[in-house]
Amino acid sequence: MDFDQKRQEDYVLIRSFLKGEIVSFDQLVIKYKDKIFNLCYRFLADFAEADDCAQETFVNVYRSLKGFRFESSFSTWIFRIAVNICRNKLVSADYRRKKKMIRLDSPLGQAGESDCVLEIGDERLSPQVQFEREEKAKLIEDAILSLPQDQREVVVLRDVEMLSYEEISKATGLNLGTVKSKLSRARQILVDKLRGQV
Amino acid sequence: MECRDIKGLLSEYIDQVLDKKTYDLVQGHLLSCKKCSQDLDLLKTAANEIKSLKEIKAPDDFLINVHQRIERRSEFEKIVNKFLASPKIRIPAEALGALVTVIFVIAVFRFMHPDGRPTYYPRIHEEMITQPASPIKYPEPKDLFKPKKSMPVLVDKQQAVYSGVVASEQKKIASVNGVTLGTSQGSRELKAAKGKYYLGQSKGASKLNEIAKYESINRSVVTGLDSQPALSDTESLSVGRKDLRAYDESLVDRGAIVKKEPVSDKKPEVLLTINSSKLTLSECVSKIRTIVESRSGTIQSVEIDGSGVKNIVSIKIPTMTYARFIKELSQMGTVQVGIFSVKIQEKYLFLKVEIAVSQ
Repeated sequence: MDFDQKRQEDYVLIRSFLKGEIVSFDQLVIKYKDKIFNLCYRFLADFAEADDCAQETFVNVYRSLKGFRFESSFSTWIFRIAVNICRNKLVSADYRRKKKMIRLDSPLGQAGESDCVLEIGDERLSPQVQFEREEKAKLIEDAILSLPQDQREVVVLRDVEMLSYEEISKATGLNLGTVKSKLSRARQILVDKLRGQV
Repeated sequence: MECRDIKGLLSEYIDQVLDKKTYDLVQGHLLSCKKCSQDLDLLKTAANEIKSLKEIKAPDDFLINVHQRIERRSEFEKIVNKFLASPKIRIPAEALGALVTVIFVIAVFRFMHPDGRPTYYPRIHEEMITQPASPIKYPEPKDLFKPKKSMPVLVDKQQAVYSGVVASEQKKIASVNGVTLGTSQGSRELKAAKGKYYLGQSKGASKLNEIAKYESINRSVVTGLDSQPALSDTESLSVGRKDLRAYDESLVDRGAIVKKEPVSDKKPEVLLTINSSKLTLSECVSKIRTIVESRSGTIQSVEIDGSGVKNIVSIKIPTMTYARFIKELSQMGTVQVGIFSVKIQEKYLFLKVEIAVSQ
């Protein structure tokens, strides 16, 4: 199924929803929920926060679909909404307070370094996530988390969500040249961090 | 192209987003540069490792949670819209503007005139312009206040605040509220003992009267109008000294206030004449004093002629109580109003009431 065919399918569901078929909206949710949830999780590295942001993304979609102009793909559009919600979450007071908590497996004074994900207060990690946190994956995840927010966005969108440069540009609101330069710098940082470990 | 430039293009190279010419340049450099080739391998490895990360799936109840959140949000919006919804009734802008203007004017009016009236026009104005049917020829004010030759001259009017009682030199009677104290000699001694005090202010007079009663000699002191037996000189002198001492204390107590209101230069401006056939002179004075004090006014002086012809009470009352004062005064007898000059802008009105008793 090529990209245009996926886009047209999304358009059909959107038009159906706009005619009153709530089931069409459910189909869109089912189709994109994992992608959006994964994106949120890679941005936030917190299951509960990712769940909250992903739900909020679809609530916004539900309320904003009337304004959808069928000029871009639905996937790009929904990714942009998710990116903006995650950005707001990252700057919110609750999220910052939570991230200030002491990490159990890193020396005092190095809190915030990307060598650990276990945190006090985060008791809602699902068993599934704990299982996935194998040693190798953990290093990569932490390396991604260590990136500045803007660079993390483009890396996740490109290498995790497999978006094209143009889609990343639309999803983040950055121009194409900026996306390229940020992605290049982000990847170089990841190479330096993962050198000899992976 | 140097290695540094090539390194910046490796990210786009692996994503194959370079144009054909740049892509060929990078590819040619990588074939000849081992270091850049190693960097490319590391970059590809890192990108692949990221891509190899397992996708975190949404919880199973994700769709249900989304619907619940949408419903909660809708209910919240309904409540908000209920309170913030624009009213159904449309008010024309002109009517609204006029309403606001009226409210503003009323607010300003109320602010400037808390008593509810823009300007105070006392009823005195109407009464003043209505002349009595048969106007009485009143003496000129200058004659009215010209001291008689027989009268003692006040040494210091500013200090003699309670200068209402003017003692007649011939009779030497200190009159207080229509009650005359002492005999001729006693009164003379009284004056001599204190100097030039002339007692007449109502409160001061009351004080004197009270002390006189306390000394149980009131009956013998009271003479004059009531034609009662007088005190002997010694008794009169004694009473006079006590009274003056008591009055002195009273004066000291109120001196600061009293001195602020010099009365000597403030001449009465309205002359009233009251003819009473029911009351005696003392009763008239007492009644007037009661009325004046109930209107927050003060009696400036009581001038009683021994012959009973010129009995004048000088009064200071708040201007706004004038009409009621006249009404109450008319219950005592026939009241005639003579007009001089009245400044209604003044807070207080100075009246001169001439009492004529026909008994």
